[in-house]
Amino acid sequence: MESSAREVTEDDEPGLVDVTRLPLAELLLSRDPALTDSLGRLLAGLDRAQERFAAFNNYV
Amino acid sequence: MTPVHRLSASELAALASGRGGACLVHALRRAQLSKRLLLLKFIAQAWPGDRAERDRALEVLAAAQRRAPEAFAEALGYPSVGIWAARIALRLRDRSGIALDADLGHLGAVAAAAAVRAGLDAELVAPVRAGGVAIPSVGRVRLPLPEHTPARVIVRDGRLVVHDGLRRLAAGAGATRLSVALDDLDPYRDVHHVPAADRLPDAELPAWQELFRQAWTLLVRYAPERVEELAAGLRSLVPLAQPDAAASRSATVRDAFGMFGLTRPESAVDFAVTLVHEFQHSKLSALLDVVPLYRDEGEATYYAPWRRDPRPIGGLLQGVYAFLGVADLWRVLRGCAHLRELATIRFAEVREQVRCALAGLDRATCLTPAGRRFVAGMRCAVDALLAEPVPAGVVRRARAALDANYQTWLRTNGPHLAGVGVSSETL
Repeated sequence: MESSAREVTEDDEPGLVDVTRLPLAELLLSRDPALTDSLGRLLAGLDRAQERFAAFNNYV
Repeated sequence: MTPVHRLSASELAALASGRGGACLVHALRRAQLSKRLLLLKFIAQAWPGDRAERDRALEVLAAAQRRAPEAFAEALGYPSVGIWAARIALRLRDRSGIALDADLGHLGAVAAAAAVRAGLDAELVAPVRAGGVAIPSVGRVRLPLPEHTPARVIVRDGRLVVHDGLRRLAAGAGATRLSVALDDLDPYRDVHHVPAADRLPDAELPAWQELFRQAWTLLVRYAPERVEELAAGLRSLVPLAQPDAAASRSATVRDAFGMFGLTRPESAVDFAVTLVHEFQHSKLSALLDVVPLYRDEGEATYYAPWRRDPRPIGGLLQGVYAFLGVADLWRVLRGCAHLRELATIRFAEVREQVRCALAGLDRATCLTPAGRRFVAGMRCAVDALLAEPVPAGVVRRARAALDANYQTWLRTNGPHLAGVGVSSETL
C-alpha cells in the first residue's frame, strides 16, 4: 500500500489520510482541512457501523 | 499535499484472493495507526475533563513517539486501544457518555503503556477498574480502591511493577514465531457477543498454550502464507466465557485490528481454523477503513449459510471473506494424513457455502467500484477452489447439506424474505 498522492485505483474515494509520519504534537495542533475531512468520514463510518451493529447483531 | 493510504489494483486483488501477504498486513496496520491518531486528535480536542491529565498523557505519548516510534506505534496499535478510541470518540461527539471520566482517564493507561514500551520515565493518572489499573498490553496493578478512583501510575526507565502480568501464547521460531497476548485483563476487551472471561486460572494456561502450539505447527507446515500474515498482524486473543463446554465461540470487532475473542478451542485444528477465520475479519475490517467497498446499504438482506438470520451486505461480505480463508485452509490441510478425511469433507462443504453466499454479493447493488472488483477477485479465488478435485460423493453430500440449511433458513425467515438476495436456484 502506498501512502502518497499516487492515484492507483480507478475510484475517486477521498481515502484515509496518512498521519503516521507526523509528530504527535504537530498532529494535535494541525488545522489541515484534509485531516478534518478524513476524521469526519471516520466518525461517520463509526456511527454507521454502530447503527448496523445494533440493527443486525452484526458481530463477525 | 496530505498523503493518503491507498491501495493499488493489484494489492486490492491480492487481498480479494483471500490472502495478501505480510507486507499488505503491515500496510493495513499502518492505516489503522492513522485511524487511531486521528481519533486521538479528536478526543484531545473534545476533551471535557481535567486538561492537566490530558496534557500529561499526551506529552508522554509524544515523548514515546520521539524516542521510539515503533514502540509508540505498537502501544497505540494494541487492539483494545482501537476499541477505546472509537467508543470514546463517538461518546464525546454525541455527549452521551456514562462514566465518561473513567473512559477519558484511560488515556493515562494508554500513555503508560507507551512509556513502558519506549523505556521512559512517566507519572500518569488512570482509573481503577475491577480492583486495579489495567495498562493495555502490559498488565494490571491491583489496587483495592473504589471503582473509577483516579490512581497514580509511575513508570521508571520503562519499568512498571504489575501484580498481574499479561500472559502470552507463543509458538514457532525465527521468522515463523508468533507471540500473542492472552488478554484477560483489559477493560475494553468485553466487546463480543459472548462475555469476556475473567482472569483465567494459572492451571488453564498450559492447555491453551499446547493447543496454540499444535495449531501453529499445523499452519507453519501447511499454510505458511497465513503464518506470515498472522505473525505480522495478530496481537491478542481474548478468552470468552464458556458456560457450555460444547459450544465454541469466536468473534472479531471492527475497531480492534489484530484481536479476536474465543472460547478455548476443542482441538488444534479448530484453533488453526479459528485463527485464519478471525484474522480474515481483521484484514477486511482494516481494508474497509481504507477503501469503502459498499455504501447506502439500505434494508436489503441476504442468505448467509453460517447464520440463521438474514444478513446485511456488510455481514455477508465479512462471512464470505472469512470462509474463503477457511475453505483455502481446509484445502491445504488435506495434505495432512491424520486430517485428510475431515479436511476433504469440510473443504467441500465450505467452498459450496462460499459459492452460494457469493451469489448474494453478485446481486448486491450497493457495492462501490472497488467493492465490485473485490467481489470479482473473491469469485476468481472461489472458482479455483471449485476446480479442485473432490470425490463426487463428498461433493453431493456437501450440496445436500447446504440445501437443507437453506430450506431451514427459509422456514425460519420466510415472513421476512423481502429483499433477500439469493434464491434456491443459486444452490
